[in-house]
Amino acid sequence: MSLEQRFKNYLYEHFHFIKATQYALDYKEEVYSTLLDHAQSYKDAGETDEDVIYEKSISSLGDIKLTLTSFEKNSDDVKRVAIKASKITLISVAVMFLITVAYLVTSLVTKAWSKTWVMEVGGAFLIVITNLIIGMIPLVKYKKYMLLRFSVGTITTLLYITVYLLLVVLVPEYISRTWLIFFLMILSWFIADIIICYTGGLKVWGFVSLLFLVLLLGVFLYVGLALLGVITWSIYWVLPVAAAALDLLLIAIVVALKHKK
Amino acid sequence: MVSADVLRGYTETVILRKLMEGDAYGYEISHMISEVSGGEIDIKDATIYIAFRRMEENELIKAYWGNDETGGARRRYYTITEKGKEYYLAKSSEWLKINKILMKLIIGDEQK
Repeated sequence: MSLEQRFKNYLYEHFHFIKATQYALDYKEEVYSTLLDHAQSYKDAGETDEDVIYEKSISSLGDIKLTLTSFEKNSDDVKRVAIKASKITLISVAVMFLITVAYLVTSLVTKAWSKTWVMEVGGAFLIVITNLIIGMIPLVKYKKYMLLRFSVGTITTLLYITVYLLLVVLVPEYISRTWLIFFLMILSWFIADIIICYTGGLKVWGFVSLLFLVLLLGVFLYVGLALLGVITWSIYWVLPVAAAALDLLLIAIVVALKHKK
Repeated sequence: MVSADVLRGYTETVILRKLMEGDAYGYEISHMISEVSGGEIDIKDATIYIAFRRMEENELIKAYWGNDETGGARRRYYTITEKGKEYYLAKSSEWLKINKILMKLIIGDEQK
């Protein structure tokens, strides 16, 4: 039997009980090429006995079982995460069921169907927000700041939509002004994003967000003053703001391309 | 032969130092350690792989498959990340400090 085949047999003996994940298959191929490198170096050193070359090459690997144990541990970790995710899903479904029951009971008793729907929609949003917050814990732990930015942006959006819907139902007389809450939402996006970027060492991204924030503050100031009648409203303000926004967009694209590179 | 235990705590730093010079594969690194130490330190491949895995998880290095083959098997190369470079610099300056302290503690002040 050739030396290569003996190495393959050795690897089969050790790997066949390990789950064939991509990581395990990569590792197996990596170990095989290392065994061949070791064998070649022993041949180059003048060793001709294939049994000796085989034994020495295997010995150079060290305690391969130790590495394989860490695969098993990783597999257990995956199982734990799957169990946790199942539990969270079950709890979410149960809570949604209770909210639906509460919504139906309240609606039937009060007959205020035009208002109670917000319980169902708001409840669903709050469940999603809670799940996203739970999902953020490993992102913080493993410092996945780009994903964290996306999660916080989604949470902020859902939170403001929930508050908006509540205001629409509870204070309908102010509906002409309620939409202004979305200005606050956009400001919150960027403020949260800047904090995450600077905390996570994504200083360039933080600076880009800061530039957007300054631009937005200018826009909101203009809109606010125009709504209060302090300055005269004119749609042409859009032109310089659009130019500035385009500049910032170009900066963001350059940063993204550089980051990808 | 010196026990490979002397590298404990600094296996990753040794690997990162090699990767600072350029991308390398597992055997290249264990061979380098053996060669630089004049054959005094015989680090096992399993130790190197465990360190690789830990460093990949911590985003200190990245792996990719090379185009060269050895007997039909591809080689898996490792490259250092920016985070890995920062980590290496921090650990190497830490080592310089520890080395001075250990010299005093083990050899004594007469070494001056």
